[in-house]
This record gives sequence, C-alpha cells and structure tokens, in this order.
Amino acid sequence: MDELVEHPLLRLSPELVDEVLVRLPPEEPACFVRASAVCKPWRLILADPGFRRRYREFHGTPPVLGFFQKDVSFFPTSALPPAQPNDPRWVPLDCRHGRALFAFAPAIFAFDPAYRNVVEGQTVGLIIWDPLTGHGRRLPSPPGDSELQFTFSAAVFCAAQGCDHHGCQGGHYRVIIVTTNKRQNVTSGRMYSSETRVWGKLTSIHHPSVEYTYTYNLAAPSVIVGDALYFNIGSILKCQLGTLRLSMFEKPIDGNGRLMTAEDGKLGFVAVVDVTDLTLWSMQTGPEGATGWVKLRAIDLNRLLPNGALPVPTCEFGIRRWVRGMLVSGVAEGTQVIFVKTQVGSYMVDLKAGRARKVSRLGRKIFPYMSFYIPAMEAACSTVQGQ
Amino acid sequence: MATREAGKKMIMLKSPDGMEFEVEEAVAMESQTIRKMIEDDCADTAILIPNINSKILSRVIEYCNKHVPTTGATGAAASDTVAPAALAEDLKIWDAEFIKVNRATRFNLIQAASYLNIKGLLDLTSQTTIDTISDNSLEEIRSFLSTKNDYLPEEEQTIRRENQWAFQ
Repeated sequence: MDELVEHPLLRLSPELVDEVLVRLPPEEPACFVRASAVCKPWRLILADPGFRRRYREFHGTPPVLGFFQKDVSFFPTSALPPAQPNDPRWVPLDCRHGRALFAFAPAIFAFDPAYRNVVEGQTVGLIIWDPLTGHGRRLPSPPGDSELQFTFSAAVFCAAQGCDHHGCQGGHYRVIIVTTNKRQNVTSGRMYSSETRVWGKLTSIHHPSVEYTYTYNLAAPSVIVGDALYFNIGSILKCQLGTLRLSMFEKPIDGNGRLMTAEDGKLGFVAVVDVTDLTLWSMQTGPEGATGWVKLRAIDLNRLLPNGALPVPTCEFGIRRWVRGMLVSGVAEGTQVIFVKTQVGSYMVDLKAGRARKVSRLGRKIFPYMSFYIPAMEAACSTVQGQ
Repeated sequence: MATREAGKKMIMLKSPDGMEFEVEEAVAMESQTIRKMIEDDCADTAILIPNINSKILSRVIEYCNKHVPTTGATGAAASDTVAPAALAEDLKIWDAEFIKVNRATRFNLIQAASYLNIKGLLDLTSQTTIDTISDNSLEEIRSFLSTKNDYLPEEEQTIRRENQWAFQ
C-alpha cells in the first residue's frame, strides 16, 4: 500500500531529483530552505557544494532580492533572514555585484529638502554595505575636488577579471565617482581600488553647456555593459573600464528613462513614452562602425499593471492632461527586470515573463540588490548518513 | 525506412509493451537520444524505447509533434505566417494544457524526457513540479509528495528555529 501511495517524485533517480530541485526559484530563498526540510535525501542534495554551483550556473544572473531607495532602509522583495538595517540617512548611490554604495553628509544635499537630514559636513563620505550580513566599510574620501561636494554620481563593481558575480561580494571591488563642473562644462572622474586603497584619476571630458547635466549628475544610476560603465547624467557618460577614458553621447529621447542591458545584450535604454508605452532601445553599431539608438519594441503597460496604477486623464480649464504619470525608477542590470513608479507605488516588472508585482509605496529612484542567497546548511542530520 | 506524405521520412518507435508508433523523422529527432541513433545509423527498422510504456510514449510524441519547428498539417513553416511572439504564446497555452495530468503521469514524463533528452519537455515537467513545491508550505509539500517525514522532531525544530524567516 505504501508503495502505491508514495509519491513518484521520491522514486526518481537522484539525477532527476537534482534536475527538478535546480529549478527552485532563486528570488525566493525561503523555498530552498523549505525544500531542505522536506526529507533528508533532499537536504543532502541541497547541501552539496556541487549542486549549489550548478544551481547558480543554471540561473545565471543573480536574482533581485530587494532594493535601496533614499530615506528608507533596505527593502526586501522576498523573505530573507534579518540583517542589520542600513542607516536610512545614508543616500544610496549604486548597488552592484552584491554590494551597496552610499554617500553621507555631502553638502549638495542641502539643496534638496529630502536630503537635508544628512547634511553634517563638507566632505563626501562613501560607505560600502552588504545588506545580508550588515557589514559596512567606509572608504577614504576622494581627494578634494570642490565640485565633488555639489554634483556627483558613483558606481561600485567587482574588481575580479572574468568573475561570474555569483558570490564575489567579499572580494575586491572598485568605485568610480564622476562629477560635473558646471562653470567649465567639464565632467571628470576618479576610481578607487580596494586593493591599493587609492583614488586614481580618470580622463576628463569637456562638453557643451547643457543645463540638465548639472541636475542629473546627482546619484545618477549606471549600468555596466561589456567593458564599459555608463551613467545617465542627462546625456550618457561612458567610462571605458580598460582605459578609464570618458566620453559622452545622447539618450534616445529627452526626459526620464533608464539605461539597461538590452535583450540583445547590448547597451539599452527604457522609458515610458506617450503615457503608457514602455519603450525599449538598444545601441547598435552600423557597418561603418557608427553607433546609434535603435527602437526595439514598445510594451503597453495597460496590459501589465492594474487599472488603479495607470495614469488617468483629467480636464482642467478645457485642457486634457494626464495625472499619475509613470516612470522607470530602476533596472536590474543584466536582466529584463525593471521597476516602474506609479502614483500608487512601485511595481517590479519582468519584461521577459510579462509579469508585474507591487513592491513598495515609494521610490522615484530604486537601486535593486541582486545576489544568490543560498542558506548555509549542515549536510544532513546524522541518521541519513550511509544511506 | 517508410516514406509518406510528400517525401517526409517516417520512423517507427516501439514501446516495450509492443505498441508501434510511426512518426516523422523530424518529430522523432526532437529527442536528442533518437537523433543520435538516427545519425549513427542505428535506426534501420524500428527503434525500441525501453522503460517508456505506450501511454507515456504517445504523450511524448504528442509533445514533439507540437514543438517540432516546422509544424502544421500543411507542412508550411509556421514561422512564415505567424509572428514568433504569437507562436510562443500559443505554445505556452498548449503546454499548460498538456501538463494537466496526474502526478504519476507527470513523473513518468520527467523520466521519459530525461531518457529521450528532450530539453523542452524536461523543462516543462520539472518546472511545473517545482512551482507546486515553491507555492506551498512544508506540510503541504509533504502531503503532495505523500512522503514520510524522516526528521526527528528535534531535528526539524532546529531547522525551523535556525531559519525562522523561511517558515513565516
């Protein structure tokens, strides 16, 4: 009778159980823990380092586990073990390869009421933070460019060559900070290496007077595609990571929008156009070597988001306009997962799967935290040994 | 080898319970295992598929028929007339219907997909199973699997205590 009742999954060969369990969703680490508690043979599989390596390889890019936004602590998007929360007064600048980067006390934030509570000193303080362990490290302040106090953006990334970023958050890293001198129309940068603990200089770039560059180069989001880091500071600022050379080119459209990794793996851009059309571009290289933005597709947000989140048309003094506008507030690098801010909250949208879910009430600018969190576990309890 | 319908190459698959299935070679070659047999010229008359009974084999063939790239009764490449996105959407709906089977059939399909090396079918069957496991509590998973809990109560208590966040 037992034989008939027992589930066939338990009779599959270990290789096939492996084949099934490798699909446990990495964006929900609790599923991994619960599966390990089902029975001892499963725990043996899930505790095996070889399985864990295959698991990360199978899923490729680490999943979004949460995000940072200004004025609040780390915001998990799924159940996670509790960690020490970051100080909500730290201003998030970037989050990549399992590390978050924050600034504190730069004078510029005095101009922005939302940042007023962090104004304490005149130097830029930078902190690297691991939200799962709660470990933070303060970086030496970049040498005193006066502009740095006023308008800058920064990015953190793993320093290892050829790394898959599946678990490198404890290793060496680099931080690039870029700043714009609005009087001279020059954007320059510095790079910090955790190996040498020294800030080095990037080449600077002179660009024509563009009003918006000044306001945009404030904790501007960035993306790494290939061997270059790109900031959206009104125009696109490119930093070639090999040569540390800066260059600048235009966005595909004016207004709000975010850099991303396009579906074809090239540099991409995403923006909400015409109220509800989420439009995707990719940077293409022509036969002559010239580059330009090419529109890939538009996705109707009416089909992805609930009615209450969508903008509504109103008529004021006979003029029809849209209230509750939407914008792209964040991008999970290397994936097709983006965040869309609406009046009722932020939605995490998976463009590949065509799914959206509400994740928070706030957030014009979201820095997703991506990592594989695979809980450590003892191989199994003693009685299973030798089976 | 048999030939039928506008020169399409046909191939005979045999299940261990003695049933024979005549399928287009292209359909059979959705299975990497069968493809290798054909390419190595080990498939003169009929291919015996061990361990997969006729009921499961017929489902597997049904799946391959649907997923073979140039499908359709007319023989026209489907991608010529239908947008790829619409085609993928249609396949997704078809797959969701296809996998509405009882647990025993689903796991027999996992075994068959693995033996015959049909990646799409293995993905579909395994993913459906993991979705069930992911969406349910520990008690529900155990009841779905009809498995005996082989943890001692104190062992399970330890796991739950150390990972409280995962059991809320």
